[in-house]
Amino acid sequence: MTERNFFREKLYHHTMPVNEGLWSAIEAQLPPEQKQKRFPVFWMTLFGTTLLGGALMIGVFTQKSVTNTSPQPIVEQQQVIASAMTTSNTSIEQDAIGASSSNENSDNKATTSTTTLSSSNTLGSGASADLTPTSGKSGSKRSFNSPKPSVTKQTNTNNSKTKMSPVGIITANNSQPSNQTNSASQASTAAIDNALNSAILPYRNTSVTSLLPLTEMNQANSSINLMTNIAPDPNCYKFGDIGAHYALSLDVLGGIGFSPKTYEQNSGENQDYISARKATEQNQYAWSFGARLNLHHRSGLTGRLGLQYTQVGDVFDYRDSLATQTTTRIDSFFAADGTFLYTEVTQVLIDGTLVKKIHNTYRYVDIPLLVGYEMRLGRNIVMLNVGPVFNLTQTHEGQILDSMLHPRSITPGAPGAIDIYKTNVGVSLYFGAGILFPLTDRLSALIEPSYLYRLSPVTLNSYELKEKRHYASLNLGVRYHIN
Amino acid sequence: MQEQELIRRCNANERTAQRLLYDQYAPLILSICRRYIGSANAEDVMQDSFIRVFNYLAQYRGEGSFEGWIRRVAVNTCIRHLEKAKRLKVDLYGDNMPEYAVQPDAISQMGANELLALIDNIPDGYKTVFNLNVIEGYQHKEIAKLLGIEESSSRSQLTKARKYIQRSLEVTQKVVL
Repeated sequence: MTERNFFREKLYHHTMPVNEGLWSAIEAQLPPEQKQKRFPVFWMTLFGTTLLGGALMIGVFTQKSVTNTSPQPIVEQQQVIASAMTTSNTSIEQDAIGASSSNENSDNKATTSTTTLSSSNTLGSGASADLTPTSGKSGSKRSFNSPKPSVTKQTNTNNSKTKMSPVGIITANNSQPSNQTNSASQASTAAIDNALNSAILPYRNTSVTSLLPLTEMNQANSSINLMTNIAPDPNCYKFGDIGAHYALSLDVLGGIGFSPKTYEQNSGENQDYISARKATEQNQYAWSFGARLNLHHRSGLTGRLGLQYTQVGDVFDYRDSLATQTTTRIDSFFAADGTFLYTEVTQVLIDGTLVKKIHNTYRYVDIPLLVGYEMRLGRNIVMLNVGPVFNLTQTHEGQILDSMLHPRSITPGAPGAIDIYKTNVGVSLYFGAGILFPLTDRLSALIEPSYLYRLSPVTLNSYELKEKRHYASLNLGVRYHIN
Repeated sequence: MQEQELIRRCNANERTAQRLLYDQYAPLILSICRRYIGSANAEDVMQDSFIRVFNYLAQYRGEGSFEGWIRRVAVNTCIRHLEKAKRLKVDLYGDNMPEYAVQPDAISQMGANELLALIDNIPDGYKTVFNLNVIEGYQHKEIAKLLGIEESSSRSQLTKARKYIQRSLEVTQKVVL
């Protein structure tokens, strides 16, 4: 019969009251509580959304202003311009039309073949402007001192006699072809347009307004600005559609990001190991850069093929406060004459704290093969991208805890290294939404928040955990429009 | 809060969770330290034990009870403390004390504090082996490994510890009589 162990019965679960102040002393020796440094995913998302929203709004407003300058309003604006530039006594139209049709503007002295738009404008200061240095000479002396004439009135009365500026001619010819306009006038329209285009465009922003009195100049300036908006260069990609069915462009982009990790148990119960991995590895940085070639279709659909390099850094922070180190000391004793007597072997056990802080690095090279849809919003382009990303290679170096919770190297070839990571992660999914801001005729700035979801774990199937490393980033870059 | 969740949060260095863990186990750990070290330095060693617990918690694998694990950390800390203070002197030659059988009846009637006082009288070396074997339930082989002594030394020290207790009990009885 076994004797009862009263000591164990009474003392094994024995407790004692603890002084309140002891916790403070312990707390003072613990590592400071750190608010978990979360990557500002929320703020980056908010920033990206705000950016996209702002760009959308700019696009919408820009589109509205363009809508407001649709063909009918254009006529009105041009009429305003005309009224601002018209004089009561002379008009270039008279020169042109009179020259081509020999109408009743008898004071025109231009010859029949001329499309002369040059004029001698008499201002208060006596300044003059030669709008088109073409052949022939103008017989019309024009004064800009009379702001009264209205285009509406003029066009209602007599188109051919309308006292308008060159822009007004466009209005008269394009918007309200009159029955009274003779065939000669119509025939000369093309010539006039050509002449006007070559004559007016170079002076849009400069000489015309400089010749006007202040009030008229203001009107003319605003009108000319509007005219700038409504007279885009159709060859510019920023204003027109893709001329051909397909177009090519090249994106070069990069940015900082965040690599969230997930752990799943591969086999058995290993929640403690997961907790230990999470506790000892902290995300430090992540960045990527790459390039991709885009093939755009007129419909807005775009195919993209690229190459992307991603680097993720973790800190492995390990502390073992019960670490021990054993050293062996051998003392040999000799007699005075040098004769060996004996050897004393002593093992010394040193206990202490082992601290490790290792910077782990994970590198990925991927090939994104994406499908995108691009939509024009004003001057900007909004795009959505999705598609598979094929991993070419994955490398890794540093240290992590093994399943026995001992620190082990993951650098291939290092002493005692464990082989738990794949060299190829396989296929991932890419989601991105971006916006393009035109910079020049060929270049656009690009902002694209994206998320790369790794479908497969980065670890081998034989490893106890399934470790996935995704990647979220805010990419900045440029697009070169090849054609 | 579940124990696993508490441990996970302690591993994440959450102060609230660490405080909860401390509140839960501090009375027990203090009692252990009191048995091994004595009342003078028990609180200091208990602090050291908890610091080790928090620093070493990531290595708790969930095998066995958490209380058992934390007790083991506390016991190890006490032994390290005794080693550093050179209080673990192994009496290789022993003394010539006759071996007494501990009287179960006398012990059964004593309270925990009286038993603690009784253990306090044992020299540190013997006391440690006694605590490890009789109260914690360690085998002599484990004790020998833990203290870096021979298994036979562990047995002899336990015997001597029992003699001390018996002698203390006799002295107490004489005083009472």
